[in-house]
Amino acid sequence: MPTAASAFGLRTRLVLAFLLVAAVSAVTTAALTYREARSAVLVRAQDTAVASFREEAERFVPSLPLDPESLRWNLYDIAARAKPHPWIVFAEYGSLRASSGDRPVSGVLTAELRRTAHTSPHGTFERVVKDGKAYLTIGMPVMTRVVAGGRAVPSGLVLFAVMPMTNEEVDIDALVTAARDGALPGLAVALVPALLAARSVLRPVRELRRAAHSMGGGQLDTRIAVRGRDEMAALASTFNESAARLEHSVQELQDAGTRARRFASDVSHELRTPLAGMLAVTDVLDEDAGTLDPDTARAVRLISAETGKLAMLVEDLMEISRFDARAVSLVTDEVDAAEAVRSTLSGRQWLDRIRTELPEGFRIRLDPRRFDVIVANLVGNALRHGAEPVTVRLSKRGGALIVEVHDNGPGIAPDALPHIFDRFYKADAARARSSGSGLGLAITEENVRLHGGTIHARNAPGGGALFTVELPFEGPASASGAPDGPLPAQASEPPDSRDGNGATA
Amino acid sequence: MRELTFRPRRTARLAALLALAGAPLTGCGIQETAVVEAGRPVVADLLPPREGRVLLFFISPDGELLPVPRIVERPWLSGTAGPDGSSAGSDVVRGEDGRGGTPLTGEEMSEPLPPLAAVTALLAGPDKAERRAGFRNAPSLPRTASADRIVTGGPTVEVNLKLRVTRLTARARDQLVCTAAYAAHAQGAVSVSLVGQDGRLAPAECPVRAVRVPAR
Repeated sequence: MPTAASAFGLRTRLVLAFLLVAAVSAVTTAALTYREARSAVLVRAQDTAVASFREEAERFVPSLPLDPESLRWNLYDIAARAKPHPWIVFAEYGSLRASSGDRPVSGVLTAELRRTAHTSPHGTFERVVKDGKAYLTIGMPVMTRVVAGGRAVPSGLVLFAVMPMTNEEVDIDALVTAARDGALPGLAVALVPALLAARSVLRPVRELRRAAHSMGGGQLDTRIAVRGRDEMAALASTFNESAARLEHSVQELQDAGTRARRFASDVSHELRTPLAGMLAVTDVLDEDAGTLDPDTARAVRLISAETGKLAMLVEDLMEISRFDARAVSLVTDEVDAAEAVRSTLSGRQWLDRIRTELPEGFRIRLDPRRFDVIVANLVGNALRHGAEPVTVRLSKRGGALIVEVHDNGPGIAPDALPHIFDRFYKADAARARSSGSGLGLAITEENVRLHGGTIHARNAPGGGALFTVELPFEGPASASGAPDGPLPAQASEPPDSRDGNGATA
Repeated sequence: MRELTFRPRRTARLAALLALAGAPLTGCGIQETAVVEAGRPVVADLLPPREGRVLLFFISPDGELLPVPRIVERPWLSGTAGPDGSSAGSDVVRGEDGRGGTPLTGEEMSEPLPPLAAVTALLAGPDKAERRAGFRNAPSLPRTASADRIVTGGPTVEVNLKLRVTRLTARARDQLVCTAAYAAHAQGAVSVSLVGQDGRLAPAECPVRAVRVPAR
């Protein structure tokens, strides 16, 4: 796609364009000057020659000489007074031929000039180039006045002059040399302003590029110094305005996000205190439910259950808020993966409901509390939305620990898969009132990311949903050790995840 | 992308510009020209003056009708006036018109030669020098012919010839007409009627016109 022209940089092209313009103007000027000068040189020589030839001929040919000898003497006289350069004079009268040179007839005179001189009542000239030499040939018909000072008739006598234009050739060659010697240094001099102009154009371009690059890197406060009032300055100020607007928009978005997160955090904090009181009351009510009449007891139990869910939701909300505010930290420890999974399952009395494939010896560095949340959320999710048997399997691939949770439920609807980790996303609209908070998988994903790992959900080939977690053995230290640091931009579904999961399924 | 497709056209334009700029340089040095007119011709007075010559119109080698001056040996020019002197020029000047035969007086010395002398000289044909320069009479003009009488005065000059004028070619008639006209009038501006043994030709003017030439 790139042509040869685009292979040159802007500087080269600018300089070339500059030089081209200089060359065109220099060549044009030189050519026109040369033409004019050459024309002037030639016209002057021709005019002088024609006028002086006519004058001398009129002086020395007063009559019509039939005698070749006297005619030749007349020609000698004319030739002796040649101007501006020596010439050879030829005469034709009837069948008489005479000249001031060696031969009576010239080889330079053209038939055209002779014919014109014999028929036209005007002096004529013709420039002839013969054997690389230029000659001026002049034809002069002689008219004789039949009455002194009166009218004249053509006499039939025609005089010719042949003048080599050697001097003019030398002069004109000197003109060419002068034009060339003037144009080439002129081009060399033009290189200097060309480079300066290219630099003055390229400097703002370079600054603009640097600024654009810096903005792309996130430095939205980058600005360019605006110098002068040219197009480059206009471009720079436009860039600055765009950058300012962009910065403002981004700031607004960030502020809005921050406000929203703070609001969620504040709300959950504010809810927690009354909820704690309500939980204490509902516990007491639960205990006393047995003594109430059945309707009231059912209502009391419902209140108690919903209050518990509300408390869980508030806890999850607060956890999410902490993630959003990046106010989470890992407390890592080196643990045995199988041990950690077993303790999670046993802590929730799931050990007898869950199939496990937990090979010993996977030592991994992680935050045990958060790992517990990951496993518990995934298994709880599988138990709630899938169907038993639920399998938890540990394996190892590369430098990462693989935790797979597989259920035998109906699986996940394909259009729900991309959103399965979104907050409050309900895979099935009919299950609007599920027992979960709707934040479990989102919290799980945040925790996995915090460890520098990845999590994927898909439908296993044999049916049922399959969640796969990959956690690096070395722990998150390499990726996101500092809790306040930016989280690694981990894709939740890297392109090779399907292959990887297919291999482990 | 748009710029890339645009560049070849721009390159072509630049090349055209350069070619245009270089065009004046094509052909350095001195170029040939065509035949160019350059002012008036050489104009010289026809010498000797009218009194000392006759103007005979011969045919040049190129077939053109050209005026050839012939110097006439006139007796008063040699310093001897009188019947002897007139006989010296008798081969040129015959007295048939009743004027040339009379002895020339001092008043007549500045008179031009009579037309009969010119016509007679023409009929005699070119002399040696003139023949060497390639001049000749028209073939239809018989050398044996002679002129009888020339009547001048009035708008037409009448030339009586001892020959058959109707047999003369146009060129031969022009020779006679021009010679007679320029002999009778300084600038040849008269009509000439040729009268021969077989009749009379319509008056004609000499095709060689004297034209005004610009002063130097």
